[in-house]
Amino acid sequence: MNTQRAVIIMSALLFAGVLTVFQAPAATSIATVSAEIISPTNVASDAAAELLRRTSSGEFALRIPGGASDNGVGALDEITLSSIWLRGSTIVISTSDSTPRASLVLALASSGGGMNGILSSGQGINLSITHTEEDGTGKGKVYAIIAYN
Amino acid sequence: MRTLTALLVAGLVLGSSGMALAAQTATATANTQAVIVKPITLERVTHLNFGRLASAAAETISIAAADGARTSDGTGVDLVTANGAANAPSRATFTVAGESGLTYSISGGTGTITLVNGASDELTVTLTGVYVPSKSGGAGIATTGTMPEAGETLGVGGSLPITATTPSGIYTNSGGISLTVAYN
Repeated sequence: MNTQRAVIIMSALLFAGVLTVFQAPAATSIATVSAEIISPTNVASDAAAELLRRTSSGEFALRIPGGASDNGVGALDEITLSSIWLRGSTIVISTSDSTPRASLVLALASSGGGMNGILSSGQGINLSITHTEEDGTGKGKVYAIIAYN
Repeated sequence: MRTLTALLVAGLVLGSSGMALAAQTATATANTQAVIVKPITLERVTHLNFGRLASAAAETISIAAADGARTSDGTGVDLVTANGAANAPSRATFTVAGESGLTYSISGGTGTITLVNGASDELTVTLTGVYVPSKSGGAGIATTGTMPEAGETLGVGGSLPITATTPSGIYTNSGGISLTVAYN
């Protein structure tokens, strides 16, 4: 009788032992979440009419010409740039002008000299143009003139 | 004679007594077995980071749970690539390891998380769930996996809506993404 009882007790202990092994504790780990929001532009009056200036690799800061009127078509101040940046080889520009226009023309020229001509035009508030840095160093300035046709 | 008879009786009594004791002994055999498995472990490798964003439009920025790719559903937000190491966008990744072939469950990595900047402005991140390479039927978002021999990397992404007027700042949260794994 004692032997049977011992066998039963031992079996129970072993069974419990097996269960304990399977019930390994769970593992937990934590990761943080973050994001950095920056202003899309550094808007400032700039008599030199420097619109884009590379501040670091891949980034441009915005300078809006103060009162410049050399576009010859319309007052430059009629449109306010809300953002402009470089994405790969494409410059994406947004303006605050939400009124549909017959066409919105944007011309870019590098600091190296002559105008590159009208690179792109379209209707609406967003223009996407292809920009090639003239000096190939990635440090050249880019000027822009925006006007309504 | 009497003495002999008494001895015989005593011997019979003792003998029968011994037979009775033998009849009360039972023997049973039980196999013993113990299955030892490796403890399941989980270690965070990278945090979920949306990187540096220039808010200029109402768009949603996403970090893919599978590979950490950062995308936007529009073109108005500048996904600044010149981040520096501290601002490189990434998904949250965790390495899980344990006994090969066992299935395990995963909890966490879902729901929303509130990010706050230094000025107490808030952003809400919606988590993607957990990308599990060993998901039954093929890699994808899942709550269970089957432990590979070498363990595997779990990924958590998220989506972050911002607007053109989202205040600048570094947004973080205090709680983070808590992930728990356990054998099924």
